[in-house]
Amino acid sequence: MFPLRVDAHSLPFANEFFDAVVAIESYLYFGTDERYLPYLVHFIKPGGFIGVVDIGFRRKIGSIEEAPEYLRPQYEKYWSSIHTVEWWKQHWQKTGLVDVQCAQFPPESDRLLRDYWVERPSDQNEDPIMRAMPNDDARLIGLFCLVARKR
Amino acid sequence: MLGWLGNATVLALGGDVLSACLGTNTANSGRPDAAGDDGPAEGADAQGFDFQPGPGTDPIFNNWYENTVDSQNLVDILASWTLTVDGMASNPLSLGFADLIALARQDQVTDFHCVEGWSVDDVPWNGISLASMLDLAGADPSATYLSFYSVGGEYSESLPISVAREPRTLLGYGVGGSTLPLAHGFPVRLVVPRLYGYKNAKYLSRIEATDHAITGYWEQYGYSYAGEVPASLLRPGKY
Repeated sequence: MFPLRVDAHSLPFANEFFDAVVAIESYLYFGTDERYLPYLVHFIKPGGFIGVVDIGFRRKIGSIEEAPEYLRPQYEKYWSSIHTVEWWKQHWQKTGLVDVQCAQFPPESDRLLRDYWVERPSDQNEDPIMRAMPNDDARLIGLFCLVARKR
Repeated sequence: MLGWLGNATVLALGGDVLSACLGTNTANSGRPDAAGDDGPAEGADAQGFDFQPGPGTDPIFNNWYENTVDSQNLVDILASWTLTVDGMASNPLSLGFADLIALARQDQVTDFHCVEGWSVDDVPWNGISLASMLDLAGADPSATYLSFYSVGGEYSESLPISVAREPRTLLGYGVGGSTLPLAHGFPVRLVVPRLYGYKNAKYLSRIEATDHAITGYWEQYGYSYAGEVPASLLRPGKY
């Protein structure tokens, strides 16, 4: 592991340098741009994999009015750019560059999210997930897993 | 975690959560076993830079003594380090750390021998073949030696280009898949397993292709230029 801080939009690597790319709780911040996956797949060998684990909704929230009360304080800042796993699957599949092999909320999702907000220091209570999770009895929020293979 | 990826080359994108999952701490690189270390402090001062020294927690470092002529200021290295490859070369290079790890990586397990009489067996180096770096820089065929200069300006070394092009001669930037600890030559050191440690210059900042040998730091005090480890100490396959 050789940690580097680089802009996700200017990765300093050669084409097809990697066998796989994994993005852990970060893809949301750059990957909603439709042009990002085509950029990123350049760095992956043909037949290589890309995997993402990130926050998603179990049902579509189309507007602030559709959002439950506990998401509204940080809707504009955070929750308005959260999507369902079906949205993500479509977002990738339509590029024609990859085949999505797995798009789901894995069984560990609830436990991982609970650990996340229980174990965070309390000074991070502006964190949208920290604020929302204690009220998310309907299990709208989950950690999705998306895996695709480069064509 | 991520062990299922085996030896694949993987790009992992992420921040705090990723670091936690991988058990790395990119913000604080201080060694937990710093007792007796007279080197510069690591840790909080190193935050906010684009690359970081390794934690040095691999057991390989337990009996690896830290002989450094010129103690290094980590923050200065992080703020301004590049590796220059120049001299008799048609394509001189100036490489940042990200540029280095983006080149084809060579992993090798070789022994490290100090002229003081101790050795570290089976060091799992990660680096770049020096021969491939010379090719990249377009080293002139009439260049017969390389001079190596370390950060800080005090330490230098020299190798015949024939030794520099041996297949086990590396620019080492990692041990066991982590960046080098500051005490062990971060960001990059020379690795020539069949030559004593003093030839394996740490903290490289410049490699110059030239037509003459320079007198390296220890050689001015009488150490041999060749620096060859006696055959009786070399283990088959480990040099």
